[in-house]
Amino acid sequence: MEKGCLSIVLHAHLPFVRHPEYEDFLEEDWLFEAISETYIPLINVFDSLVADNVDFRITMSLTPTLIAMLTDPFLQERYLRHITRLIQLSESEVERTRWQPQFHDLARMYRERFNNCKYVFETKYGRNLVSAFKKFQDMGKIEIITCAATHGFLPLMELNPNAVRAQIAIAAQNYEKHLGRPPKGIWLPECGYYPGLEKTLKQYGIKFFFTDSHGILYGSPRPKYGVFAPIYCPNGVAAFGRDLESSKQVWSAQEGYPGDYCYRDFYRDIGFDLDYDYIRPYLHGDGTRTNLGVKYYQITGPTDHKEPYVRARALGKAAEHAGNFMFNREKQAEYLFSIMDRKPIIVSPYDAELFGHWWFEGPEWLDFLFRKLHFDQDNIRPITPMEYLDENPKNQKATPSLSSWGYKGYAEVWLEGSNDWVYRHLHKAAQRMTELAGNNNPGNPADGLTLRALNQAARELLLAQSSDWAFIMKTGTMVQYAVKRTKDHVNSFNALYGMINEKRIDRKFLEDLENRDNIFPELDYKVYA
Amino acid sequence: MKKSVLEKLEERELLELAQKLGISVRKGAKRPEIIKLLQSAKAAPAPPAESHAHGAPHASSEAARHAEAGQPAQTIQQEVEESKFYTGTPPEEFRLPSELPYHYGDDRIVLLVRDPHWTYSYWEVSQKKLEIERGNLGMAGEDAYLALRVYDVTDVRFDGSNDHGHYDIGIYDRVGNWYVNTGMPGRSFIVDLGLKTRDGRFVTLARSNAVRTPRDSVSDVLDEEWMVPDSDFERIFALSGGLSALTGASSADVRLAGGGKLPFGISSPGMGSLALMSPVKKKQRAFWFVLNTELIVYGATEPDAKVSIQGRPVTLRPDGTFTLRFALPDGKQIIECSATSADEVETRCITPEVSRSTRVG
Repeated sequence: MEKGCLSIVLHAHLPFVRHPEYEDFLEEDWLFEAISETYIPLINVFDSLVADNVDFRITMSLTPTLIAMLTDPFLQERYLRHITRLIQLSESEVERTRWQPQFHDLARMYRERFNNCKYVFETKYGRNLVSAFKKFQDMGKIEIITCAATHGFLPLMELNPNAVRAQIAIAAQNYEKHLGRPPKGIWLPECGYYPGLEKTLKQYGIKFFFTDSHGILYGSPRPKYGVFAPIYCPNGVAAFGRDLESSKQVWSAQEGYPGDYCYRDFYRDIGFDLDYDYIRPYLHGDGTRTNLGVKYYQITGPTDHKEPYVRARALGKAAEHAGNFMFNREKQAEYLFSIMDRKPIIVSPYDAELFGHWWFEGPEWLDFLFRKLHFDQDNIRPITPMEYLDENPKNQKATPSLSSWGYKGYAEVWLEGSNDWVYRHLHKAAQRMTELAGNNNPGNPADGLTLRALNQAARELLLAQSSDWAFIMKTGTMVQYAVKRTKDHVNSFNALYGMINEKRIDRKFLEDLENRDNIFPELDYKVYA
Repeated sequence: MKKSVLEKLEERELLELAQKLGISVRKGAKRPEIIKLLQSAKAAPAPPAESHAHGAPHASSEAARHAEAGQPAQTIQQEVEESKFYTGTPPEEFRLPSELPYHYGDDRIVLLVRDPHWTYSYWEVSQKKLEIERGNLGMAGEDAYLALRVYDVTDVRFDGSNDHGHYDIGIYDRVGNWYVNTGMPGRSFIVDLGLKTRDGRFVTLARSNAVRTPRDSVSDVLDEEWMVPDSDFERIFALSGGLSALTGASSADVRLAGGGKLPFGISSPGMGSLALMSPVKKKQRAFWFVLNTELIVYGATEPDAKVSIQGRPVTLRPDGTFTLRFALPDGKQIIECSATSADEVETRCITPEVSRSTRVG
């Protein structure tokens, strides 16, 4: 008998990184690696579940920045270049490892994977992976939700309501353009919620969002069912809370599944392990060693001595972990059902890039999980938040509490010594953008070049607002890039602001910006008015 | 501060003084440099030291960073130097500045919420505004100092005097920032940036937006329609914090009685997509040594010949040369190579044998 529902939520996001001004660019690898290691493996899992008639439900955010990159012809071309090189590399690896059977098998696995990536990307989905995800949404298997336009951390933007509104409006517009209908749900960047944000969400037809556990638990009035049922904000937008137990089973550094010794080790990569002259052709221009995505070892244990990866054993482990996860959710649902007068919903959100990129076996774990849920039990049913709301339209009204899913649960990750300096500039730019939009209103329309400058100014502001830059500054890798991106976007914005006000727009400067920061071509600056 | 006074102090005392005054001193700075910094600080009248009690200066405060770079002064200097080359015509191509503006010429203070106990404020006030307000204060204006006044404005429409209470924090810079430890979850705050006279008068230069800190515990507000016995809610609450209630292992951690606090620490991941994209491995050992061997087999024949190595065909370059590279493990490899002419009349075989054995120690 059904005792409850399970909602797996994957948040797929990368910041907008696109540098046509360079022949190749290290940070563009974030996208390429995520495509090969996460997005395509997930698409393959979905395709195989559909092929085997396994009914499944996944809620997945595709952030507007990610959609912009996945649908950008320039980056698509670069991805093909990237994967073609990797195929070459894997071919020489198949040769090179001929006298080492364990590595040889793995080299063949990589060759097959990379060839599959190229096939799925180029042939099967015509370079547009968003269309792949859309296909599963149209089948009713996954629910794609949106995110703020450039993943701005909204609680620190509340001061500029127009900037918050623009983040949501542009996201909704971008979603509809690529997915053919308005978004029903949103993943708030970093789960960052502040009371009142729901008003803006409702304005754009958004019916639900997620908060971290304490966002719901500390909501007011006290939520009767904790995180195991949604609450309605006073205006009727629903909020779902994260279940900590299921998060912990995957995320926890100590107990989490991805740390199992049988799983593939992320760090041992041939980009660092092999002879420099041999791998040099596959490295970036400056020749710095980087990960190449071919990794031959298993985690093995808390030691630097690593044993070769055994694929079959790792897959067995993934099946075992999927069974364990399912068992725990069943027990959890049974118990909750006994003390609640309705079916609980267990919401388990994860960063999508955890699956495949970091946890190599993660996509297979999801595959096993949904097969087991479908064939092996009937206590819990995979569901999307929208389906749950349709089935359970009566929910308690309460206002969630300000919260995020960052370390310590509030804004500290994005507001601390390393990154607090950005807000003075971001707020000022947002204020100036609103001012520009007000000055260039329908009664005083902007001419061609000014119009372009106004739209580009909005793009520069949006790109500066990505929470990713503040996050990188805190975590300490690639800091220079994040600082430079913040400064460049703010300075570009300020330059455009000055040019627009002085009615003296530098055409070349504007065109350079338009060519590089070409995100949201449909954007209309009046969204800031 | 008098130089003669400062020169009597030890380096350690100077550093302490600088810290007290919120002056950042670069690592490894020697006494004369610190004294110089302390002397230049006297331009801004010093607030009473104890007024720092409610907050923490930040190592990377705007002013501190710019002071390190000597920026404000440099900007003027730069301007003067650049003016030497200014002929009145605009430059050919627009060049983007590499640094952000130090300030925007506003009189403004902004307050942000960091968490239930801390807020963050940044501000700027123009030199002009500051001088006018000093002037208005007459004699008392001369040694009046900049201060933040933190008001508790919970549930009131603040009119400048109807707050539930306030306290002041002395500050130095007209462009700066400060983390304010309000220590009060679920309350509303406004901060004024002002000039404070030695006799206690406070003149507001700029007023912040109002913010409300989030609750850090379960709400006391109950909804009659959605009532639940406390004991049931405790169970739901405990489950929301993990399965611990089921096992009874550590339910004390998550009980309402414990203040309704959750056992965080797994809150996201702390990772996020980007940390996942470029994680950094912690180095586990100081010294290490790895060694591997590879074998390169190369050769040449007629460009249209067929070559095979260990039974597998080899692709030749256009000039008939070829190269293969093998990881060479311990043991013996018999590498049978053969070349056959295009007309399949002639075949040559060459079979090198290679063995590797490794001693470690």
